[in-house]
Amino acid sequence: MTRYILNRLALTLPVILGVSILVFSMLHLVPGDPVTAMFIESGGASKEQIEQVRHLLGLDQPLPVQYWNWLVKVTQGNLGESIITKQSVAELIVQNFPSTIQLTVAGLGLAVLLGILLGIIAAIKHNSWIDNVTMVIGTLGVSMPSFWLGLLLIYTFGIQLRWVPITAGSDLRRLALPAIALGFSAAAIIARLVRSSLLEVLQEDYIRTAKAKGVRYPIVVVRHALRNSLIPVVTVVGLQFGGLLSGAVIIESVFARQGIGRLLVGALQARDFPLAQGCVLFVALVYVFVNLVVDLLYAFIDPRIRYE
Amino acid sequence: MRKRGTYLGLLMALLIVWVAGCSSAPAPTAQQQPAQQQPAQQAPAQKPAEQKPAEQKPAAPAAQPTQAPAQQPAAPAAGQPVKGGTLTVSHGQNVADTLNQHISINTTSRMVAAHVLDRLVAVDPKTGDIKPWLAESWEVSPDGKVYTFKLRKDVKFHDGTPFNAQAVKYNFDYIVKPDTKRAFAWQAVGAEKYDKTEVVDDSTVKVTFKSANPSFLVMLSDGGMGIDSPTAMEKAGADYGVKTLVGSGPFKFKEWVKDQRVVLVRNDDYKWPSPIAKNKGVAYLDELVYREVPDAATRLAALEANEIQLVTMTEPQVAQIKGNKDLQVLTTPKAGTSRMYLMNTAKGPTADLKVRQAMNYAIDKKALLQLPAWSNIGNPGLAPLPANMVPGGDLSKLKEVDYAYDPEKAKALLEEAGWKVGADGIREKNGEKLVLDMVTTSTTTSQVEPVDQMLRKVGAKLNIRTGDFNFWIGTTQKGDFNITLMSDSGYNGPALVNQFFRTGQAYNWYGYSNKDVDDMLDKAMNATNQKDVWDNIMKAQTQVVKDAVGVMGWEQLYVYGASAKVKDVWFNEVGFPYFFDTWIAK
Repeated sequence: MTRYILNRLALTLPVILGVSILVFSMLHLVPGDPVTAMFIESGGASKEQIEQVRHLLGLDQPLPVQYWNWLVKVTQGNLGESIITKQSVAELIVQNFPSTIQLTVAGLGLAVLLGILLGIIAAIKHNSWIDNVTMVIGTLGVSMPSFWLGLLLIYTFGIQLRWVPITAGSDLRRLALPAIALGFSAAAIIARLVRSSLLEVLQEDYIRTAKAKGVRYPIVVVRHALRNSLIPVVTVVGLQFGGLLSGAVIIESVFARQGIGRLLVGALQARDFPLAQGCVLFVALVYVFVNLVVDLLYAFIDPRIRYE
Repeated sequence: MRKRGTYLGLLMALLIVWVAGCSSAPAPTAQQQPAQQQPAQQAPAQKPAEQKPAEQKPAAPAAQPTQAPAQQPAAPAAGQPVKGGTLTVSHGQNVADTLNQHISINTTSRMVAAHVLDRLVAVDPKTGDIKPWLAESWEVSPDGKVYTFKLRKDVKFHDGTPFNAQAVKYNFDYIVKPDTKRAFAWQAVGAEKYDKTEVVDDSTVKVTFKSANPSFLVMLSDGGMGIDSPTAMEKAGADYGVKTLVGSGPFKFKEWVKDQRVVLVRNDDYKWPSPIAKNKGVAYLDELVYREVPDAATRLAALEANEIQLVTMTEPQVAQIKGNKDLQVLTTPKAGTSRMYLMNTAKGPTADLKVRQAMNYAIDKKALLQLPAWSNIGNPGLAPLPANMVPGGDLSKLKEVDYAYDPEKAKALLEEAGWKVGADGIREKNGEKLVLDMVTTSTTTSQVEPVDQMLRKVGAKLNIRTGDFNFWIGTTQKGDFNITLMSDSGYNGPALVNQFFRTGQAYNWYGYSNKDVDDMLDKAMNATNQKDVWDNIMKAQTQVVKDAVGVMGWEQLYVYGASAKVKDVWFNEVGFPYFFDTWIAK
């Protein structure tokens, strides 16, 4: 097990490196230059002035050199500073991450709760109208873009009903709408998965045996069937976590929340390379870590799975 | 499964970048590009003939009647102002970089800081007159190089330290420090001409330039030229403008939480209001809060729910809130150029004057403004500079050379130019289709697609390429387009015309070069009196229109939505809202 974990940890290195190289190249391949944009904002500048600032920022060096310089600094634990605001990238990430994690965890929690609940209901009421309604909700959830759902929620609960404040904040009332907007599609995916997985498991012989023994049906479902049908669900939940992290980028803008997503969007728009790279690297790290945790969870849920 | 998990992880991380890149949420709106506010060297004059070079006056946005259907701003409110309450405002993104105006390049940051920092002088937005503020009086040397200011003696910064000549010197010297990033203030102070500031005595300060700097007084009134407390700046160091901001203004800085809010509170010791303000005491509002709400739809929703009382709006949103009695629409002319569909004069089909003229005849500017993307906000454009930016608002000469909508004429011109209608209705010449590469930002698509529809009627069409602001700059800068939608904000009309239309200038990415225009612009930029400046600028503008460098789209307005209870908002000479007079009706 320890060896497995170490292996997995070692494997994350090339992944992170690959991500950082790709992000770096993508940022530099897109047209646009932060210095020009900066000067246009302040009223234009001569070519010499632009070149001077580019030189100061090291942007006039060849891309591989720029990447290498950045990488060396990162390995020393220095993510650099934002080109635009001069604030430390690491500090900005630390300031913004809790808000994103709060939103993502809330969204995921909601997705898991709602998803498993709806999935179970749909499975045990298989082919009934309840099943149909649940699956319609599921399809809707997958098809609706989260930003659209967000605006819909804002309109309904913020403007029409006035139950919750629309923008920002970290208290629970303000967290509700963004979490729903973010988690709903994941809930739908999980619901569909739980339903099909559970339906399959419910056909197994041991379930029939359990029922024949006279175990009450709810207990059969929850104790005997659910646990076995959760393995694919755990995988999907892990993947959804990444999905939700990326979804937070949009949701944070719609609900004017603080967070890594907002930070990243701003950085990309300003071509603030160090900040954008720092954010992406960090998110990639978090994602890889979550994936690792998910893999380890398998063993916990299904003792038959052992890593050699 | 495990292996796939890793790949999926990688994919997801990339997806995040991709999604973020595609998200249009806080992208620059149609009105925010290419550049933000730009310092003037010679501001447009209301009455050029009567003015000495050093005393030019700005155009007065408020003096220009707009034809917008919106309610007019700053109408005297019924009832007496009442003290108290919090006004929450959102410009979308309020502070993009820092509140330290010595190094900020962000327009909205300047709008915020203007409430904390007072300036030496103020420009009356109605008349363009320059009024004393922190400076009681001033003298300008005949050669326009030396400005001597007599300062008020009773002014205190929020940290209790006195405002004096030393403070003014500290501020100006700081702006031009070599290690200070070239920012708005750098341009505004005229840093390239700046020589030195001398303290004559505590309340007298002398600013010397290496050559005449006629725009200095006008620029001093801008929010970006506020005077900060030197003591506070020294104490805070790099945190100045981030964790603190200390001026002598009607509001004091309380906090800035990046990407969330800026909170300002009333300065109860305020006794030196702007001479233009109606309010002669302290501010009415207890608190002034700027909230960051990047998404326009959310902003409007927050306004409707009264979480925010004043927001910047997009034109289509004006139609959306029509009939809502709890809300009002405030508009004010935007200082800057008209919004123009500029064409590449150096290459492609638009290198041909006839094609460019045809485009002008084919596009119905009045009809465009009726569409939801404009919601009737703004006026059809006549020239690079809108009426609010030229002396007396007089564009009558330009009306004579305007292209009235005439699709038949457009077709005839295209025929003459050798473009024959092909099988699919699109014209062709030498096997090439008349498809113009339109490069613009994704937020402006709705202002470009209707043009495509109009062009199709004369046998041309657009190939619309959109991206974010940086994509737009990066692409147009290389000249990689046939037509683009472009404008610039700024207070210095002549300099703007110069930057857009002189050969090889900063924004002239469309390769326009006309020696006569260059000569006129040279004369304008070096003129010693306002009449010569404007005679030449108007001539140059006329020639630019004759050369059909672009379709002079429309004259822009700032559009704000506000709660009907918000009274006495007024806009300064460049169209920034100032909330010192503002109060909230119970």
